[in-house]
Amino acid sequence: MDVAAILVQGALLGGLYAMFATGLSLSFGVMRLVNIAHGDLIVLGAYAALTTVNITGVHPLLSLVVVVPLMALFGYALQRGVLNGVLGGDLLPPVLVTFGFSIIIQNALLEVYSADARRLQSGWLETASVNLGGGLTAGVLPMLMFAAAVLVIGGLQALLYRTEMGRALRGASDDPVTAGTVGVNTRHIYGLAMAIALAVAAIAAVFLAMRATFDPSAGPVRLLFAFEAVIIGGMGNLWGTLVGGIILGIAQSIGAQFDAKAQILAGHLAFLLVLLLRPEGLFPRTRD
Amino acid sequence: MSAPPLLETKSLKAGYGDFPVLFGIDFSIAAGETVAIIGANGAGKTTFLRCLAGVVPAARAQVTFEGEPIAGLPSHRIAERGIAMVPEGRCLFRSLAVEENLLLGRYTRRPGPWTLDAIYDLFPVLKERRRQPGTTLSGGQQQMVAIGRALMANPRLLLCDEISLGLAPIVIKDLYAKLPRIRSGGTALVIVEQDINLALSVAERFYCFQEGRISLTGPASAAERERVVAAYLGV
Repeated sequence: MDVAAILVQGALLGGLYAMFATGLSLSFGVMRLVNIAHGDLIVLGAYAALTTVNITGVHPLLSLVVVVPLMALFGYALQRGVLNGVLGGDLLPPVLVTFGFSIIIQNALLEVYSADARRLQSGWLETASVNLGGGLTAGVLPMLMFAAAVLVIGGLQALLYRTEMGRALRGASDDPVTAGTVGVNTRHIYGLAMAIALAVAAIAAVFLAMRATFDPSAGPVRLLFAFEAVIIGGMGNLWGTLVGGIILGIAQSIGAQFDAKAQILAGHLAFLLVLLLRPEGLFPRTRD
Repeated sequence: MSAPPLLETKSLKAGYGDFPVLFGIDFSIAAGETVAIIGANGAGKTTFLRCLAGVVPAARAQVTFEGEPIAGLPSHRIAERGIAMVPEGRCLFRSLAVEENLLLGRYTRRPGPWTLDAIYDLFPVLKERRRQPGTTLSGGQQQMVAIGRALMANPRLLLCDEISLGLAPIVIKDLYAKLPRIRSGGTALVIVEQDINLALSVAERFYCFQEGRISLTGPASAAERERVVAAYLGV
């Protein structure tokens, strides 16, 4: 396999990692909430897609129509019902509560779906590829995945910087007390932020489930990839998160050339390297 | 006073946790009126304003606005009813540009004379700076943004917490020169200041706060000034 192919493959995989990371980044950016259950929520989304496909028989991509709104609703309810109650003071209470959620989700999934590894069959999409010229080919599914990531991040960027809701999200992040005095219901805004975070997680989940197998314990590793993408790219910068995902994907894809086990390790090494050389990430949005 | 007050507090008590700050404040302001609250540091002036804005909780019946009890409502509900605040220290949203700060001020969608254009007409310098982050402006300009943001809500009652804080005298004079135009829109003003003369120069009535209580109140005429100084100093 030549270098160009490795790079393209890694970069496209990076789109998926960026989608893992976006929801995590958003909930931390707006609510200072470190969501330890984020990876498990992605896996929950994958199982929701599996169930949707099993019941309706539609193509996995179409399951997005059900899974995305469902996860968004769940996110809003989770935030308003539970997480809002532990916000405001220390960073630690939300970490503990979401850690608890992580365990609950893993065990609930184990109970309902068993420990078997599952996968969403996407038919011709699994093997379809396009010739990019120069003997370089890329799979249609990875390209779709990458395009989805660009659309999601571009859409979120527009939402945050061009709309009233985006201003309210950023204002509530800067100063929730003052945001309240101008009329922003911060508890509702936090609910919406979590709804968006889980909607993005749901998109990532469907692609994850089409691309590889998953099982109830697959969440924590996705969380780790998400953290790494956010930190490599720099906190508070969504396009940076995409670059972070790409770097992580490329590192893994290079590592996989040496040994299948070296794939994950190479990603972690790239992360550690960035942490050593630029602890603030590659493109931090400094504002404090 | 024949007309019912716009806002009234009755033996308002409030504090932070177990630490009481206000010990029974009886206060009222009529629609369109300008009232000054003066007092030394720690007298409870800011806590009082934060109570009215719903940031600091108080018992339900202790604050009535347009005849309805509002204490204990979340701050965004109070903002919807038409109470806006220029907070102490300005509190601009630091990741928002000047214009975005102003736009967030109209989140409640209350109709009225104050639009983006009206604010830029009042403070022309903000129009030039509208794309800049609010926090890159000078102190006086930041205060203009904070005032503009509060006005964008077209409030019936505007709470101004020490708008002179940390500003040069010439800048303070400019800002205070804008108050008549703000009043002409029909907005009632509560002006909190440590500077007695500054506060009394714009207000119709005053309250003097001392250690969480009202030590003196009356019309803001020149003759009152000596009594105010005495009350202020607590002698």
